[in-house]
Parts: sequence; C-alpha cells; structure tokens
Amino acid sequence: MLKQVRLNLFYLYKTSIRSILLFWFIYLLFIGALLVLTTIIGGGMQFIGVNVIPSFIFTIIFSIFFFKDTFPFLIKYGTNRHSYLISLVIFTLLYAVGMTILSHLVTNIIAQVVKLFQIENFIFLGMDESFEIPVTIMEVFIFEALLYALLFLLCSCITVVFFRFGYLLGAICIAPFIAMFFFPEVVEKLVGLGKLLALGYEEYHIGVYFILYAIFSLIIWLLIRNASILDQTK
Amino acid sequence: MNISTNNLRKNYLKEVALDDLSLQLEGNKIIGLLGKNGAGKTTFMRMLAGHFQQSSGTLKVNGQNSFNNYEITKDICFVMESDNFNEKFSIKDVLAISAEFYPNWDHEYAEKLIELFQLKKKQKVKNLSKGMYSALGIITGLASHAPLTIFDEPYIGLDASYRSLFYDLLLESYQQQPRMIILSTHLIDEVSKLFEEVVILQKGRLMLHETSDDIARKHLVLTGSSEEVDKIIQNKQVIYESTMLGQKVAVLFDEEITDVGSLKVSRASLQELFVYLTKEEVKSYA
Repeated sequence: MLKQVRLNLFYLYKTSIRSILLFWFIYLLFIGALLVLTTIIGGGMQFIGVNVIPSFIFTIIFSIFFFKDTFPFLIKYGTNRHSYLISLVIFTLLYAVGMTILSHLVTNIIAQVVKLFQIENFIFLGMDESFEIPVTIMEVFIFEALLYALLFLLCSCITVVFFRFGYLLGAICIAPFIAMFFFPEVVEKLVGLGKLLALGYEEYHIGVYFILYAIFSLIIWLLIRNASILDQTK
Repeated sequence: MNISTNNLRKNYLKEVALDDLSLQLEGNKIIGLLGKNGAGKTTFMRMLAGHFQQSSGTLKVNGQNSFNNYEITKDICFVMESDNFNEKFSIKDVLAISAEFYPNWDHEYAEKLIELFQLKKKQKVKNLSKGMYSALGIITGLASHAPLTIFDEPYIGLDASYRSLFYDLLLESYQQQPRMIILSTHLIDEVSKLFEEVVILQKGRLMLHETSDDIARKHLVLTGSSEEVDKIIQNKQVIYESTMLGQKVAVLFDEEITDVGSLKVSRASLQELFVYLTKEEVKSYA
C-alpha cells in the first residue's frame, strides 16, 4: 500500500504543481501590476485580508477538476481505489500547507516591495490583519491551511458525487443539502455551527475541521471504493 | 499469465456488453481479440485491467480478481486508442510517470522508440496529432514490458509504414521478452501472422477461440457449380455461401470432407474468415 501511495502522490504532484505555480505567478503579476498602476496614477488601494479570496476560488476550481484528472488515470496505471483515497487525503493536507506557505510568501513579497520602494498608497495585508481580536500568525497560518483543506475535500466530494452518478442523479443527491439553506431555522443553526470553524470566535475548535475531513473522506471512500473509471454509474 | 473467465457478464445500465463469457487464456503468446464494433472487446479488456467490475460471473488473472488488486494490475499495461494520458503532460512527463508505475519499464528502449517514432519529448500530449498520440501509447505498451500487455486499436492515425514498424517492434519485443500480449484490432490482415491464438467475440459472447493454426486448418473454401457445392455442403457447418453466374462459393468450418469431386478447394485469410464468421446469420462456434 505504501508503494501505491508513494506512486499516487508522485502522479498527483505531477498533475498539480504547474497549475498551482502558474496561479501564484499570475496572482503575483496581477498584484504587481496593481501596485505599479497605483504608484503611477496615484490614489490609493487597500487589500486587507482579502489576499486569500483568489486562492480559495482557485482551490474550488482546481479541486473540481482534480478528481477527474487523476482518479481514472491512476486506476489505469494499476493502483487501487483504497490507495487513491489515502493519497487524496495526504495530498489535500500537503496542498493546504503548500498553498498557505505560498500565500504568506506572496503577502510578504508584496509587503517587502512596498517597504523597499516606500509606497504609501498601496496597502496589502494578509489574513492576520483582518481579525478584530488579536491572533498569532501561527493561528492564522493553521486556520488558513484548514480552510484550504476543507474547501478541497468538500469540492472533491461534490465532484465525486457527480462523477459517480452523473449530473442529474448527482444534482438530486446534493439538492437536499442546498435546500437546507432555504429554511431560516436551519441557516441559523448552521451559522451557529460555523462559529466552530471560524478563528476569532470562542467556539472555534480545530478538531471540528478534522471531523469534517473524516466525513468527506468517508463519503468519497464510499463512492469510489467500487467506482468504475467511466462511472455514471457503469 | 493466466486469464480465466466463467459466465462473465457486464451490463452498462440496461445494455449488455458481455454475456456469459467463459474463456481460458494461458501462457506467453500474442492473442488476437477480434469482434465487430460493440462486440464487447474493450469491455473485456477494461475489466482485465481493473477499470470496473463485472456485473456477474468471475474473471481471474493468475487466479485472482484484478479489480482493486494492485498485485495483479501492476503487471498489466493497457493501451487504448484514446484517453491513455492526461493531456496536461508532456511526453517527457508521460515517460517519467510510466517509469515509476511499471515495474519492468525499460528506459533505454523507450528512448530508442521515441527516436524511431520521431516524437519530441517536450511536446504536450494535448498538442499531439492522432498518430503521434498512438505512437506514444505504443511506446508505453512496448517499453512497459508488462507481463500482460493489452493493445486496443493502438495505431489509430498511424500511417501504414508506422503500423508496419509497430508490428515489427511488437514481434521483436515479444521475442526478447515473451509475455502475454492481447491485441484487439480491425486491421486483421495486417496482423494475423502475429497471432498465435485468436478470440472472436460476437454480441458479447465468445464465438470462437482457436489457435491460428487450427483456424487455418479447420476451414475450407469450396468453389464450383451450385449443384455440386450444394451436394457437398448439405448438413455441414457452412459459415458463408454466395452464388454468382451459376458458380457457388461456400466456406465450411470444422468439417471433414474426404471427396470434393471437381470442386476447387482453397483457404481464406483470417480477415475473410472473420467476416464470414461474424455475419449475423452465422451461429456460435464456441
């Protein structure tokens, strides 16, 4: 099993590394262009704590395609479905840590450039500056990584449902969860539960993330353990 | 390698792709898997490679189920006509990945084949022409040296000269490292000499499984006047007959004829036999 996981991770790395680096490169270029524009034109720009939004959007899009880009090919290369799930979970955690490191790196690079050229009308601050209560950089780092992993597994889970059952059946499966948001009492409860996941609230607890990871992993496992690489469901 | 199926059945929702297939394939040999479109060839090969499970019946490779069984599937390389590789990758990536996944991967041989097929390693899979994509599949299949190598129409888009190169390489590779190679093809005339055994599927069922020698030996093409031919073929297994201007051609299968009189006796090519055998009115010979 270890050998399969190692092989799978190698494949997952090969599939993803270029996309991830390309995203951050484009993102850095974009922020750089805004910086230059602000300096030339004048006026002011403020980015506080929003630097993670593009990377979260990227995570959603990336994870939607990730399963279909990897699962059928890895099964064709001979590894089994059990090893795929283990590899996916390990990859998710590595991805989350990697993205968080890159996110902080980008924030710091921009901050250093702003400092170096003494640009006063361009403020680009990371997530750590967006909390009303004092939080340590490590707490923010962990929180950001947990969010990446949560988004990645959630989107993978949804993708697997559609891969397995097709668009119609998949939509029927997911519809009840979406329908919950139309009931104010349920939304209220969900918001209450959401505090368990939100840094800055007393109820915040890292363990809840791992419970959710376990749930999503279990759903993915149940869906792929006998999945065909063509599935829908064949 | 040893492949054994018993009453194997595969349904795609309501459609039956394989039906009650019982088959034994053993030893190192090149096996031709033939059948008309929709006969169930790809389904059978996909199941061998563990792409999905059967609906019922058993499928054993070396005595074990290949579905979700790495010990078996690591020794299987299945090259299809499409969807073999992630389009994001370059040829170099595909080779690097294949080298990791196939335990018997021959790096030097792969490099040699890349030169032979004139591929550029930096080129992305998505930018490859149909023929180049097929060449990459062929290179992967040959260099994998997998104990069970399966090719499903691997030469789509390749011109006649490259196809000929593929057949030569296949034979050379097999001679250097004997293994079970299953080749599914519609270009039967081009490859029939490579086959040691032939399996023909018809509508998901086994129609014929014979050695190439037996197939050649067991059939007869009789040509002569209608009356004479009709007299000889009475109560015989006739797989094909046609009459033109009073002259009749009949193909008999698995029949002994001692006296053919003035009729002309000849042999058909495997491709012709395949056409005769898979015509709708022909009954199963399995």
